[in-house]
Amino acid sequence: MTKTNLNCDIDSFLGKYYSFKDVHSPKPGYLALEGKISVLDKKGKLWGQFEILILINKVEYPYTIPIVIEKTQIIDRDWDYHISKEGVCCLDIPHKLLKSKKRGITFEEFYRNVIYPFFANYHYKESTGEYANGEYKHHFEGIAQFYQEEFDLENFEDIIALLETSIGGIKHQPNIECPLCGKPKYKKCCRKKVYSLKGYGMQQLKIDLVLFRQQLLKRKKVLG
Amino acid sequence: MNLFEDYKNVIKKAVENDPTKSNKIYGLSEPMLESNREYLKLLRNELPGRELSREMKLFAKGMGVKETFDYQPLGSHPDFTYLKATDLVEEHWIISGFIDVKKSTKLFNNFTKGTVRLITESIIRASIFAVNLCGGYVHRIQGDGLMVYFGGKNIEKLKAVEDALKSFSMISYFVKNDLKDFFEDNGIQDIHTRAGLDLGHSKQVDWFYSGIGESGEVTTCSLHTSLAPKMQSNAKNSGIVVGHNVTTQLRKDKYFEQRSKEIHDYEDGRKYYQYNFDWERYLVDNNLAVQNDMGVLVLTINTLPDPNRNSRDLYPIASKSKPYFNYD
Repeated sequence: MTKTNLNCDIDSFLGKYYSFKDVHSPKPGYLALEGKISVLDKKGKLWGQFEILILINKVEYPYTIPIVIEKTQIIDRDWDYHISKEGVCCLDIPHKLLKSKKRGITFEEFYRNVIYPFFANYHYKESTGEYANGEYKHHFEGIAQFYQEEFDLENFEDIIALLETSIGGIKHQPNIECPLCGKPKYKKCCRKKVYSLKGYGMQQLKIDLVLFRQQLLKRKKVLG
Repeated sequence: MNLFEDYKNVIKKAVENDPTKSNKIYGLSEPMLESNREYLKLLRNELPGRELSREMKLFAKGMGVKETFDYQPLGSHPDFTYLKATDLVEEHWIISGFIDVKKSTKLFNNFTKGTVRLITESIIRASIFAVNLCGGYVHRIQGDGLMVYFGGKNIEKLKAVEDALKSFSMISYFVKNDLKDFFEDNGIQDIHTRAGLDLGHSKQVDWFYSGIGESGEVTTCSLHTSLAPKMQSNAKNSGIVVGHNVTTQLRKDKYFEQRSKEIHDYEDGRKYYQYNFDWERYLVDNNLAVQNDMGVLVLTINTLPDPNRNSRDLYPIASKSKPYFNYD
């Protein structure tokens, strides 16, 4: 993605979503948008409204993830609602956000596909008792859940091997038995996962590797 | 809230039951046409009349209007009826508006004239409702268009301007958001409204009786009444063009974009300009509409959750999100 002009993208957004305006940013180096988000379903029925503040890093854009703060305090500041005490919304698992960041975002798409659905999902949970597409568990358990769902891996040793291969840039012959999980051909097995992991960025992978190693160690200690 | 739902439903049923499409090869027989006429006769009763629907009542209440408002009679502004059949002239400011549906003649290519009549009547009735809801007076119906006045002796000029803008915005919304896609799904492309609005100040408007005996009407003579239909013809698809006098009342530049060409040259060095009006932004700013994830407008008068909402309809949007918590 080529570097796009933040001002152009924001002008286009403000020319389409009339309840937002740019305001003085409380965070230096960030562009701030304040406005009202109205959650409407596919039949145009209104579910509720939130006042929100969106902060976008001016220098990093489009390679950045906007910070979204819910100002109305409609959402309880409880971790079950994936929001900090200050109202900062945890929009998605960091890995997916990092992938978007690496690719580059266009703000309007990010609003439509990430910010708006987050608030729609709050109402969905309030109405049905659960999030529409489930949720990630909190802290490390959520990371483990992510690896299980995205890569079909539950065993921490397999995950660690995968992370080490990806971080270390280790290359295996495509037609050998998979050195990570033991299935017949590496190219049809974990190679895709190794490549896919790179999309989340080396920094996150290293953090994950440390976490999985620590957790594995803990488990081993518990088992004696 | 779908304010115009009842009008839309009648149009939908009329189109769906029109016999033209299914009998294109062999043509329409008289029994078919007769059956269609009978159907349309019954369907016409489903159009909201003097009795407002629940949604319309809610909307009226939210706008601070009586739920049982009376439709004003056509053609005679109540403040100037005394001029009827007299030689008197009164100077008084007024906002003149013209709005009609463009490309509606294409409807005749696809439907029986009975169906076209009901479609047109539904749009006209919805428009009359929107005009009356906002305190306007329908002066004349011209096919699928209206000539309208806003203002009078007991209303502030600014309030009348705001009412006129709201009313025309709502009509534009109805055709653009509720009908356009439906018509396109049924092979009718590019149906849209075009509207023009202008304000004439008291020194610029004469009210008088034009005509002879019963064959006449109380009307206005004003450059600004004459400019309004010219602005209408200059409007973009689904657009509203307003005169400079309207913009100076509202004093909010964000809604008005000056058009490059003036609408009138006084030939003394002065020019009178016309402006594209951003009616969608105006509806949202005035809490008459909210926007969905795609930025599409939905008319609403309050921000309370819709009692008829269903989580099934929220699922496609909500399921794009899968939240995670990692704060301490």
